Amino acid sequence: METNGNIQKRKTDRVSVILWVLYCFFLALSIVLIVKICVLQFAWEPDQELVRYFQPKRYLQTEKPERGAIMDCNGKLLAISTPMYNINMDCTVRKEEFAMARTARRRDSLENDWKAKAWKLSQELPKVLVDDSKTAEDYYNLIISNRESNLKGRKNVPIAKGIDHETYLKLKELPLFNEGQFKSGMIKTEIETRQYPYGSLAGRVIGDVRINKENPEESRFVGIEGQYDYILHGKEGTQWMKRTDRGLIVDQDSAIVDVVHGQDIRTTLDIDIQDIADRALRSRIAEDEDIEGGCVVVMEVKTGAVKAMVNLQKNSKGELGENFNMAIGRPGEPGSIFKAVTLATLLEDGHVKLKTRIPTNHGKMNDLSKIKDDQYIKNWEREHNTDRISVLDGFKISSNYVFRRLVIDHYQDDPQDFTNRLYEYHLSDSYEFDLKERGGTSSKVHDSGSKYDLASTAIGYRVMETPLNMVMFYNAVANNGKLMKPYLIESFEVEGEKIKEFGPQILNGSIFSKATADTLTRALKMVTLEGTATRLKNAKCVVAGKTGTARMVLSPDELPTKKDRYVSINGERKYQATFVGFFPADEPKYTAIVAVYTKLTRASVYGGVIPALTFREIVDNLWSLDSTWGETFQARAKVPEMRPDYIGTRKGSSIPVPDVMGMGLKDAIYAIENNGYRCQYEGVGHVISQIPSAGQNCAKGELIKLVLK
Amino acid sequence: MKRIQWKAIGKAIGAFFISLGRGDLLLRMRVDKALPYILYAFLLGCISIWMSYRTEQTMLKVEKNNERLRTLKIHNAQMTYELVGLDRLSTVESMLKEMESEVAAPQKPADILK
Repeated sequence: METNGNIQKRKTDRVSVILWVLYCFFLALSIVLIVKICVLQFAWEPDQELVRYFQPKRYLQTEKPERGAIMDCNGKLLAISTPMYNINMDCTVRKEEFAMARTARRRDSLENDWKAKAWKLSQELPKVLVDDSKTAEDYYNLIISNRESNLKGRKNVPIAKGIDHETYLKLKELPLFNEGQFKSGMIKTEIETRQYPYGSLAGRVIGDVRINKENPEESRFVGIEGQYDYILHGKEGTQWMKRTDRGLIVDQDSAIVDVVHGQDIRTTLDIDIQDIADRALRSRIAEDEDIEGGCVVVMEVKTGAVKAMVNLQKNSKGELGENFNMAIGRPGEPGSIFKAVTLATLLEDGHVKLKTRIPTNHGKMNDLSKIKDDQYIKNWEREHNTDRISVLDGFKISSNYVFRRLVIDHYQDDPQDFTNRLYEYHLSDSYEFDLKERGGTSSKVHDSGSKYDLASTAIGYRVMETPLNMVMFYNAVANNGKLMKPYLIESFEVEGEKIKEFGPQILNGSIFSKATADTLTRALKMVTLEGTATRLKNAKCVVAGKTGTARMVLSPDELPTKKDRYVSINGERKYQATFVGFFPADEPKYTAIVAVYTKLTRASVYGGVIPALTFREIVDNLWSLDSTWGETFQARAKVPEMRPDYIGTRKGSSIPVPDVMGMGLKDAIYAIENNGYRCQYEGVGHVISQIPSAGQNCAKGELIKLVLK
Repeated sequence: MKRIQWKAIGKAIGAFFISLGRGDLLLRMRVDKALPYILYAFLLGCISIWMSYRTEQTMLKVEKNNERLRTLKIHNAQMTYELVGLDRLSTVESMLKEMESEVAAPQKPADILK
């Protein structure tokens, strides 16, 4: 018989054996695994096709830089980039999936459900897209016909083009589209679009960039956008993205090239002044069929900062648009506005004074027989019954004879003296402006060879000047002889921080003495008070300036006569009529030029008419807007400040009565009526009492009584 | 030159397999002394895996928030564009005219009270 001890021992041995076998099994398994790991790690070459599926997917994502904004001097946005969207639709979406349903009934049910959603979508589309040209039926037919046809483009049917982000978000919430791309077939394409909040205002100065990828040489770079594309554009960034179970994330193990967004450009333009100048010029030239276009430049006297640059040109339909920057790209013979340059030279060289009188000689240049007699002088002789005329009177009536005579008399022996002065005034292309106009030409001063050349230069012919150059010279007069370089770019900025700052630059500290500048200012004031620009006499502030009317040289297409390049064979002429000046004359803040160009015409166009009237409108509007020219009153009592929390513009029934104490009538009425109350007042001056008092809640439309003193 | 102790090597290999067979190889190698370090290394491994997972989760959040930020920026730019357009002087004047408002552009510069 087996003892209990033996039985126990045999049982223990069996358990030991089982455990040992299990141990061996796992040991063998672990050895196999270790060997397998080693083989996989060091010896095995996987099939690259398969590797693709077992590794997380990685994509090289290019991050496009945000294009910098363009701002005016006050930070108002002139150009900004926002994405727009094109929405297309894959009309065949899920069609194959539905076709694979088990029963015909199920297939029809799924398809009909999809079509029902498409109909709901079609009903909403015209409302969201605000599109009257297509009805719900049109959209539905478009979707269904493409779903059921075999047309090539049925998987990419255009639904909406160039919609903004708000509309895109609304579209995403519509029936069917709210099921996502793979169930609805909605395909979104994002297009980075440059937006100009002020429309075509300053359009040519702001410019644009159009890249022609097929033919880069034909790409268009215009204005600030074009010239400073390298600043605005920024640099692309790249990063590797990897797909995880829950979405795409940046692969931190890969190299990341940070995107560098474009810098913002702050210009010297003041969009309010630009608007005023644009409106003034537009209203004067839009209806006049003889006018081809015109330009306005407004410049700040002390700095040379260009505050407005308007360039309006008519297209073939007669519509005005900013198509070419005439202010910097269209030099022409400036005509009589150049007489200020001549006068400055004569004064500075000490040859004349304003009261210097010369013989009128019936306006005839005896030594220059080819030059026609000056009719203005003949009229002068008749009106004033005299045979002598002062330099100032000659300037006021813009006499060609007077200035030809003076220049011939004083510079005929050494004409280069006169020409050298023009170079000193930088009336040639010797400085770099911040912008260039495509195809535009530069200013030019011809050396005076003969007497005829000298006489022509004296009255603004044989020199080619852009409007910007002429305004620069007049600005120097306003600035006591200090010639400032016109500039348009204030600074490059990144998120409001100035990266590079540009500022005023002096081209010549004194092109003539302060005495000469004062004398010229006096003469220019007389032109607007008693001379050829009396339309500016009653402007809201005194203007000093000069009119100019120059005939323009005709191109061969315009069939000029053989003898005279300024007259066509039909007897028509083209004119450049200009007014240039500064204001207020005694303490100048702005210098401006208005130049108007005509088509071929038989009519006479003068600088004292359209340009002067345009100039006046600009002066009057600017004067009213600028509080620095306002009258200053010394307060005799404490004047309460306007508190914005009381001056609401909300509509409602329980807005407190605003505190209008101390305000003028207009402000008080504005504040009261905007809060929904009516107003009754007596007296003039400022509000000294109001009933009900400020802060009370009254019924909408209740009467507020004001007493002004 | 020293002779290679083939016998000793053979003995050691034999002992290795015997203890491997007996299941006390690790004890024989005194691995039990290093057990805390092994557990610590294991823990570190676990933490590393957990942190990778959390990093991935955070990166996903970052991506989602980036997308939200981008949408807001676009919305902001769009609204700015629309509002700036209304700020134009002539637009304001024409809107006031349409509303038949008495408010108009000033006819003279504002008076200054000092």
